[in-house]
Amino acid sequence: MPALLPASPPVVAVAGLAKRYGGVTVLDHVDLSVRWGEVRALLGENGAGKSTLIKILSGVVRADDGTVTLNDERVDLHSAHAAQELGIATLHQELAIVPGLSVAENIFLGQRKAQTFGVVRWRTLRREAERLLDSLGQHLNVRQDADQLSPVGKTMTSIARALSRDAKVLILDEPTAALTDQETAQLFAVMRRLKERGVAIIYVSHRLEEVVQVCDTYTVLRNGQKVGEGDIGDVTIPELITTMAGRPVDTIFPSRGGAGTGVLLRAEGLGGKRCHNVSFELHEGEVIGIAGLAGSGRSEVVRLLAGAQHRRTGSLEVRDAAPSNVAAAPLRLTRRHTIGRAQRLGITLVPQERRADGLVPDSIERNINLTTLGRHTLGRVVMVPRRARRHAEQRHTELAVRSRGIAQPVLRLSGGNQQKVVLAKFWALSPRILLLDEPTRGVDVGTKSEIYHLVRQRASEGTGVVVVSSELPELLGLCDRILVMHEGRMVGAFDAATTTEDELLHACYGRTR
Amino acid sequence: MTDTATVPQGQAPRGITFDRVRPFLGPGALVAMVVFFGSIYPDTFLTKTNLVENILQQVTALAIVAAVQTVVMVVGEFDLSVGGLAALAAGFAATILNTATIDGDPKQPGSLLLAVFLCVVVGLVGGALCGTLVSYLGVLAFIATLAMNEVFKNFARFRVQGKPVYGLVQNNFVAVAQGKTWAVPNTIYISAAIALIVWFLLDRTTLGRKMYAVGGNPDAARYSGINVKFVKWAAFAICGVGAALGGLMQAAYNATANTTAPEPWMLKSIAAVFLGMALMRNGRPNLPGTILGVVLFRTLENGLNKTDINNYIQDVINWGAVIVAVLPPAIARIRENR
Repeated sequence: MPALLPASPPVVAVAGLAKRYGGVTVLDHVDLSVRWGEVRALLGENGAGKSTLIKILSGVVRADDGTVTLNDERVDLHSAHAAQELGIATLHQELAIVPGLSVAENIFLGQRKAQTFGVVRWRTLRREAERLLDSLGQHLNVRQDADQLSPVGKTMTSIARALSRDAKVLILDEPTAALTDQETAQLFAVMRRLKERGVAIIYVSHRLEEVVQVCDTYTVLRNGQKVGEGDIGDVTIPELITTMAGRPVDTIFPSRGGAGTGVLLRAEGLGGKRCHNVSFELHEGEVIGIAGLAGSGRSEVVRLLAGAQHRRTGSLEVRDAAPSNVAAAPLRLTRRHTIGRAQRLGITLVPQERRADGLVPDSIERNINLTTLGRHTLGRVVMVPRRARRHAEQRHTELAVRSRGIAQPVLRLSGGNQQKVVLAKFWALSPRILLLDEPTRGVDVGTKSEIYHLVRQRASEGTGVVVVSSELPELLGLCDRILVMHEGRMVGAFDAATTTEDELLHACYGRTR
Repeated sequence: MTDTATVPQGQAPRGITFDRVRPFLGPGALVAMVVFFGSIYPDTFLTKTNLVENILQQVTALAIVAAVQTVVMVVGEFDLSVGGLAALAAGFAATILNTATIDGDPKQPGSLLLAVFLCVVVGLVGGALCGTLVSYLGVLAFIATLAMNEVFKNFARFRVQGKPVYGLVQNNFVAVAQGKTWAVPNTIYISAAIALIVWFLLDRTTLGRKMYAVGGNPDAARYSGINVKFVKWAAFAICGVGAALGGLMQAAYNATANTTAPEPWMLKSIAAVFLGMALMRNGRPNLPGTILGVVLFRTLENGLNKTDINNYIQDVINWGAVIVAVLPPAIARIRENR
């Protein structure tokens, strides 16, 4: 094992940690330790066992075997409360912010601070909250409803909460998923302050560029086993990816195909909630990317096209994109545009949040068939189960979903496979205009690459694709053209082959060079 | 309940879990109850008259209402107005069919076909009204259907001036409802047919699949191109028609339309659906489960009736049993999420 930091004793150390769910081993005797002031990246694809390890450390799940030591003392993490009392704080992907309570109240949630016989001394509470946030270099209005905060504000509130409980170990689970690059930089600055105070940090992220920036050491899990660890300085991103995937991932992005000349969709002066005067054309076989900061209106553009959101101004013209009707004249869409109508015209949106908007709590089969019910019927009304099953099987194979079969409940699948089921459902519509909103969020590298290839394959069959993403490297690798949104307006269009991440980033912030 | 080793399709082999024994709990409980009460009261409980007439026949109207309540609960809502709507629809039909006016003067009864048609229309309009309130106007089902229940019920009372409507004995209306075919009451056939139709709707049609999707995750259903509002509305409309038919059958069997008769249906139909969710199919509302729930509840009620336990305590036991039945799946779900 390589030497890590100078030999200070670990703040937290787990040894031989194991967990089985039924017959499935999700953690197979894993060791991991974090020293004083160390930031350790915990890496692995979806289903590698990261979440389970975090859940055990935060007291949500009990390990079957193994020990956890905190400052050389063996501890029993029998409940989330116990873990917090011992000084292990966890920031989950969905931050536990209580809406309707102020920032100060959220920071001291569940603590008997600044109280006299159960009566809260508000001024003391607020001062304490401000002091904590100041120590992080943050200036928030602590009387504000915490739910109104920006994503980074919520993160800071949660970190302040951890500090108020004197956390010695801080677990950050995908803390930057909802943050813009600027906000991410803000978070990293705070992490450096925490390091100086000696907080041991476990950092979980799919974004390896960030991991390299902010972490000191790394541990890689695969299929519940530790398959690598060391200093971040001794390793490159491609090496990390290879370790995570267990195989070399040489071509993450497929090669670009040639876009056709036929115009599939022409948007002129589109306007709606949070986007104004957006105009562009989408060609056959073209993959367009839409970049922008969170709240820039990047998602709203595709939601407008898909009928998921109301269009107030502008005109939308599609060449009736249903496969049977390719040669027809352009069709001007009325404002009464719903998701169902859009789908019948060949326009399909794959929504952003797969758990919230993509999946119903049912089997894989029922999820895949949801968009095409009428096809597996007698007279469009009576379902023919055999036909439905056969169709689902076919899509299931086409998108290489890894499961125990189409009868399996979809919510038991890993994130990447859930996303494939969502894609399969919309693939079944054979859209001529495919709109993807954050298609690879929270998905491991291997599956990401598979998704990119699937998207390109569709494009090569003549489908026009629009991809909205917060990850610029993704847009640069996958798209032909990239449009940039800033404060609801389109501020630039770039050729993906010639532009740089830096140039796009500037445009995202509304700056021109 | 000896078949716990059988593995349902698509489940991972992972020890005896609640999901595996679940399909056997309901039928097992039914058999256990019949054996239990049957061994204590072989002469009063374990007779054909008791089992067929007092247990099955007695729940035929409720079974219809619970079946359509299942439809509404599949889309993730519930309908508290079934009792009021049943009273209203039956009241309308009865004032056409009766042989004397409310004030007691003799009158010529109207057409049976017209009465049944009117009853269905009232049910459809009432259900559609509730559906419009909940689905298109966004009123919470709890308050919308609770208030509509009172509206329907009191409108019905106004229509019949608060009195039961007697003398519905024309054109075989009552004769069919009280008659038997092959020694089984006709009402059981009628209920079974309606239950079968609802089962077919939920499990074998595209609308049924859409209903389960809407109930499971309305946003995902919307993004899949399903007209969520219409599907919810349709569920309420179907429920209204079912409630009306339940009310009509009850009135026909009793030869009397009484506005108070359908009152217990609101709670019992919802309880039956919950029992069915607890006993079958992974906690989703489902038709076979609902029917099983109706029969289970009635069997317990009937069995306890034979004992000399205090009447109020009998109901304490009945409803306590509902809690006991829904508890294990609730706990299993909490465990699963740990």
